[in-house]
Amino acid sequence: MSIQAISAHEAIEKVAISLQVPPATDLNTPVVCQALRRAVSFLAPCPRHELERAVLKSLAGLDADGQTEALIEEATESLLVYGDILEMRPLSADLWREAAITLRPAPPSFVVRADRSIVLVGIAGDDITPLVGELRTRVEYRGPLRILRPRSSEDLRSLLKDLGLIELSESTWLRLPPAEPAPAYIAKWKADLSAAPAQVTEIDGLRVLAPAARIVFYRDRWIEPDASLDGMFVGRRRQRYGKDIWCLVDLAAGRPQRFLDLFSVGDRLRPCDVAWRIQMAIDAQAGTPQLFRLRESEGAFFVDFPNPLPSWAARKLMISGERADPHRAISTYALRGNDINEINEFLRQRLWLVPEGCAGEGEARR
Amino acid sequence: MPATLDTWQQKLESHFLQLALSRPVVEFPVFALEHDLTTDDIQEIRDLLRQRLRARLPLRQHWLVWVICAAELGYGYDGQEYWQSFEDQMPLWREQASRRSLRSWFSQFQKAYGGIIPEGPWAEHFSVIAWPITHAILPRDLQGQFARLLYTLRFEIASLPRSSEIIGEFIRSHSPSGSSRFENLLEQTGLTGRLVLALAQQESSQEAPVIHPPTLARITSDLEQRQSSRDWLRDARAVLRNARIQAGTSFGSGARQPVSTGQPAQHLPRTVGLLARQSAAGEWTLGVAYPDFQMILGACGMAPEALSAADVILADQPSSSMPARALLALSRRTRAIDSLSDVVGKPLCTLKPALEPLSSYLNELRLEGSRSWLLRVQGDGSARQVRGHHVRAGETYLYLSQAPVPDNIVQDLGLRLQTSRTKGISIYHLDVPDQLGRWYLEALARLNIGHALRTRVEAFGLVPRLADTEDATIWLPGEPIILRLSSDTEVSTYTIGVDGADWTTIQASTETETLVSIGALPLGQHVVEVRATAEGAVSARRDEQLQAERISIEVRAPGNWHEAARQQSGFRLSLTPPDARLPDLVSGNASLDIIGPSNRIAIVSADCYDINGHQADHIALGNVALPPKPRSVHQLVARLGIEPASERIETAPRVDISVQIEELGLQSVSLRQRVEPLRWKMQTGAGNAIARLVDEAGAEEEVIVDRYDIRAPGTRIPASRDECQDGLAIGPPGALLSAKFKGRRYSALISVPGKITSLSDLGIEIRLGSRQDNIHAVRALIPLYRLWAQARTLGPLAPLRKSMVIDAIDRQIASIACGRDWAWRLLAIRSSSDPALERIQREVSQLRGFGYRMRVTNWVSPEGQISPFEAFRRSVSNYKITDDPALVTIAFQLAFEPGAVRLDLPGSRGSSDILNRLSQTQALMRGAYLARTMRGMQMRELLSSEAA
Repeated sequence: MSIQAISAHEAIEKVAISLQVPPATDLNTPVVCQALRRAVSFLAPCPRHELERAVLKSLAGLDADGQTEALIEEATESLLVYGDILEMRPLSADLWREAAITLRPAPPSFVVRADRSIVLVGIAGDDITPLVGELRTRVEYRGPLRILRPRSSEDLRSLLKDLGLIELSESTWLRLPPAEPAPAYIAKWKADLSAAPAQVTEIDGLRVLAPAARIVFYRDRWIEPDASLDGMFVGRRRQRYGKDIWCLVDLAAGRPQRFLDLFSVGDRLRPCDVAWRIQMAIDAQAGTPQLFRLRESEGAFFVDFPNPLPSWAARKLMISGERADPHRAISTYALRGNDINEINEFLRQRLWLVPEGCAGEGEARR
Repeated sequence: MPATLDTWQQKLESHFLQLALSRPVVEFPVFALEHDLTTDDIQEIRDLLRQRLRARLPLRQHWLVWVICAAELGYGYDGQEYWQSFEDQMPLWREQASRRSLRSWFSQFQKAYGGIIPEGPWAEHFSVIAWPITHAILPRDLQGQFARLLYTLRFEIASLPRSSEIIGEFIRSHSPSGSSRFENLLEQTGLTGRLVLALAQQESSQEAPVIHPPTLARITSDLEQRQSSRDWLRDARAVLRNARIQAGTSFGSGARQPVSTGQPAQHLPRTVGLLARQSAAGEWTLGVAYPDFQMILGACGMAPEALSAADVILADQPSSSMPARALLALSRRTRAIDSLSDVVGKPLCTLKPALEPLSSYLNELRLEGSRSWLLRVQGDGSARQVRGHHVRAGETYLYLSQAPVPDNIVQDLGLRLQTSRTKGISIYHLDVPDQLGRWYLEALARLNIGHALRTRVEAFGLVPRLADTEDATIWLPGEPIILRLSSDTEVSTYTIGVDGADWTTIQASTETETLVSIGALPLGQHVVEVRATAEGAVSARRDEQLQAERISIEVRAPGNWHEAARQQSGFRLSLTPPDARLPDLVSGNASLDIIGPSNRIAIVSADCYDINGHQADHIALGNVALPPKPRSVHQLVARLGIEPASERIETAPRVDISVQIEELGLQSVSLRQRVEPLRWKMQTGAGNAIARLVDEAGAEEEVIVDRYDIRAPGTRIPASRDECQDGLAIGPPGALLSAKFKGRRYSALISVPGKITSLSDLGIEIRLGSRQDNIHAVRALIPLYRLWAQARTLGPLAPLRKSMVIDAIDRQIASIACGRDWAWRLLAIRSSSDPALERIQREVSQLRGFGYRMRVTNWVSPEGQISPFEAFRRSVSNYKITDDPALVTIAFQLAFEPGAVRLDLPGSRGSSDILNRLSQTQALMRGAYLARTMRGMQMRELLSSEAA
């Protein structure tokens, strides 16, 4: 028994070792992601704010500048994007059904990428990452991702299956919605919204995404509805505890006529993914499609996205490349030159995005 | 000069003598595999033995060499056919020796060198083969499963006393469902325990070896051939070695000895706590934190399977029950309750019927508290019950009361009434300020809530797993327990002790909080006590000691992650009833339920596993959209009853039905089938088939083998057992082969279709021979029906041919019992609207109402929720057909389930008497057969309407 006073840095070091991530004396993304994976393994099914609050509380005292909270939120978001944690509505068989959306650990699985490297996905209960022995030491922690690279002539897929992991096909992991024209996509949602009951009262804390033509930056597009707004808008409405709920709202002179909380059929897509895609379709139909920026730097190709990307699009980019530090954008991905055309086409067909410089004069929106 | 068999025999005798002398026999017996021979040596010995067999020289003088050879074959045994492999390696062996010879040589080995004796039910059942397999220690084929199990249980094993029996028993009782052979291995608890001890001590030279080091090195080396096994083994050994180093000569303190007294232990929890969770809209729901029912069952000396015999009624849902096995799913989990008043003062759950001693314990298991409760809101947003009714400054609580709190107290304490989804309770939010004035303390006292200056102890770094009370947390080995200490007043030092020892004093941090690492704690329950010395007097005794804070810490082994993934999954797969067998599922008597997000596609498949637990077959059954429509899952599973799937699953000892829903993962239910020591195998050739009898029972002369050709299913043809073991040629259309051993039949229908060019080739003329057509012929037809109905089916079209033979026998029985003409007309009816039914009904009995009743009764769901038999019995009684209850039973069974008929019913004067009486009441028989025909048609119509 060794009872001793320790510093916060020493404590983080011990935590990192026990979580089997690379040694660290300060909080970083791999440590926080692994702490979140561990916590969700026994807190789930739980709402997102419960998970984040529990992890934040366990690290209280390190958060003088609020960075820990931001780190935890960002890490949770990444785990949702890459499929370590699933966002679902409660099942009828759940013992508790207190939240509209709850988090669940995804089952331990893996996805083989184009370069044969393997992305580990999911959470293996108490083990977190279900690898043993030497294999466990080979996991690369790249931000929120856990990557295994096969050695020459090593059959890593069979070994992982032998350990009980499920191989996810690319299509299963990506969960891509079908490609369709933006007007057709909008028409479906308009029909759903028109079938919603009429809204007779104000919606508490409602904010909507303003038309792209009016405001440039994504963050600044969130406004309270005013009398100038008519038609269908992507919005968020406040709830007392937890994150605001994504919704679609029909406004007449800024007053809600109908609204629809956004869910995807079968919980395949996250509500925010649905909302962002609708907004992309609205912007495209309005003649102001959202943009992305392609650039080459020191022999590498980068794609910058000034607007949020749905999780499935982020996963698609992860299959081909790696996430990079954002460059004047919300997210940036490094890609191989061979994949640029395919990704370009993917972004055009599924999200109606246009590369910067091709959208017409004066449309340098970010 | 090459060694002779005599030399090898002497060399081995000398080796085993030395080995036996070096080992305390009772504790550590000797295994034949510990022979110290190289692969080349073994090959040389085999060659010499084969030469001796060819020369037809006596074998007995080299008995030890034979024992070694048999154990070597056991080491490489793949679970398929030990004797066949043995005879393949040693041709002519059966002509000069027998299995009993081998058993006697192993017995000689046991007596001479203190060899291990096979133990457990499997060893009793497979009384000869058990010797070479047990002496092989850990056959290659089972090594992967053993390494995985050792890894899964590594922490628990490390905490056990260093006793092979205790370790072996622990492994056996904690093994998940694996292959039959692996379970057989685990029954040998002494063996597996010794193996674990040997693997743990392999790298230590300080102790007498439990298994001969070269033999252990060979097993380890083979085991490490596969990377996953190597990794499991290495991680497990690291934990065991570490525990041994820490605990000296024993793994652990022995605190975790599996003990069951058959009576609930006094230390089991008698009360459970409340938990509250808040919705996004701010409403609170209360839940009950259930105890560990698995542990409670163990303490009661009961197996989880015992729960299958009862239903459980939860206190808050008194009008509904569910299978008692659901308690296992509730173990250590909290569940929302609808109404608190339904739960207070009552047993939390009640078993119907009672299962003692568990029921007595459950009768005392209640919610703690009766009128008011205090819950502290914790880091995860949930509120957990505070035992002791004390609050701390700066914390947030929920105060729960069955009666509203008086307004003046509400005002004094700043209580805020919350919205409760749980009925029968008022919930108040209580924010305790950092500084507590006298008036505040008095207001608390009016609610019977106390306060003391205390130290605050919270987990740091990792989110603690919270137990059912606010001051108890759960950790895993290897997780650093770091505590963040602060207090309600300024303190100078903290003194921390674990389990009343290792007291350590630490200067309080000059900042507000002090971080303390407790280090690694062994598995089990611990209490960490923190005493703070304040800077100035703080207590009623005017000393400087704050009230000590005690927190409970449980360190438990990591759980099986497959089970955790299943429990947390985004969909549920369950089998109802939980102990259903595969035939129940295929026939629709059991159901597979899938609960998951709607508009998803579930992919359903079946995986067959062989006797070693290796996947032998994968059968894709199809997809079903969620939520499943009625019977849609059954329609997929029912495909397992149709060829070719039916044959593939019939010979599998384990079949897993799996459901995969995209990224939500895969879940399975495992269905076990018994593997018999005597079984039939089929190999196909050109135009015919070879049927072979696999005999692992150790039986010799006692086995009686008969053959019945499909074309003449009632004609018994005695067959030679030896010939069947070597392989019996079966020509089209096939035959039933039956081996009878110790009163039990092991039969299989071997179907050999021959050349099929049209549908007419599927038809076979079946002749039951020149049997009597009076009622006494039924006496022979019933066991014949049973024989064919119970036979396993092998080969193409086998189920079809089986049903053709069974139909023929059934038709014969019906003809005899009801009259040939009437029976044949009845059996030709296909629809309830067939006009011929009118005449058939009239001819049932002179009392026309009886025939009409048989025709119009709903036999699928008889009125009054009674069974079809009860409906039949009542009609027979109402129409005064007979007053003999035995006759009613037999008539009904003969029509509905001929194989179940027993003519030697208690109180009867023999089968002749019963049959005579039956022949005199033809109305009874015709009524029963008409009822059966109508039920079949009603069932078909129901299914087609459901499908529509």
